[in-house]
Amino acid sequence: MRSATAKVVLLSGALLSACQHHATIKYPKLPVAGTVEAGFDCEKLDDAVLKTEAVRWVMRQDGARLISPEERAARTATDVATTAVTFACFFCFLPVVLGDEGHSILNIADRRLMSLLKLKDDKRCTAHPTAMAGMTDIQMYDTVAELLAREERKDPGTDVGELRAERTRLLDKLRP
Amino acid sequence: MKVYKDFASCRVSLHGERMSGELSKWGVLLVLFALSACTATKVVSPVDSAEPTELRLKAGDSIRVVTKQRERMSLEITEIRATELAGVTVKPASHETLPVGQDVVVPYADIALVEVRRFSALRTAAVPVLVVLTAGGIALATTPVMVGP
Repeated sequence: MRSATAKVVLLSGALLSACQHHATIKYPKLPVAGTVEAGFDCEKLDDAVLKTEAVRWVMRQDGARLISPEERAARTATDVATTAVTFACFFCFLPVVLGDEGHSILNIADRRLMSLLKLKDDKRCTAHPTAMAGMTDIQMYDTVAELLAREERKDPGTDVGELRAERTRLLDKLRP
Repeated sequence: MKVYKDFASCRVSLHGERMSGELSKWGVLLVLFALSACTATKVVSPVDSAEPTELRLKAGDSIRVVTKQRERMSLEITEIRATELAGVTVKPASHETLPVGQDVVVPYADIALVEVRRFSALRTAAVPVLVVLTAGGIALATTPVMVGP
């Protein structure tokens, strides 16, 4: 019995250590820009972009990353195991991370960021430089919007994992 | 019936005839409550530059803040002001760099994320109840029930 328990603990430890994302703070629900943000002037929109980018940066610092649909499917087994461990251990209130790797929350943050940049673009606000040489935030919006469109079109031969990796690489450099 | 007998012994213990057993049960429950002193975490990402009133922040609250300048800090609030909050940093959490005991002032306009943890009576009570119910369920499921004369 003891050896079986030890095996479960070891297996769970191995699965948990395989996860790179460990939330060090609770993340807020970041909504896509709505009517409130639509009423913002350019200065307030820039402010909202900065705040959202800061929250996204925290997620990235905690190891959150976008994963491909194939990777997500492969992690189902990890999810089941970690959920079982969570339920089995009443007093272990450690932030048990499921196999999502922070994909969902990071994706939501990306969508809010994009919706704010779209508003900036629509209102013809002044574009700001990014950490990508020769690329403004509005140009980055256009590029990422195209990546998102390709991801949603699901064209044959499209590597969704690659598109998401590229989106992350770009948005990581939004702030100069 | 054994099950009935178990319930009966419970009833007896409530009348004080099994005092030591009763004390140990209460002791276990107290330990469970102490171990499960739970907190509820609330977090917001303000969209404007006003005080995040939904959190009802007050002096004495322990909070964690991320500013739009990408600063991360844990602090205890000492004062809620009209446009900012003042506090003293506490033991830094992961990825935080400010040392303990530093006076800080955070304008509401700079807050990108604020997390507050408070003691939650509901959660604290729920955990021991859950444990006791589960243990009771397991005990009932594994106790042999003898039916018949």
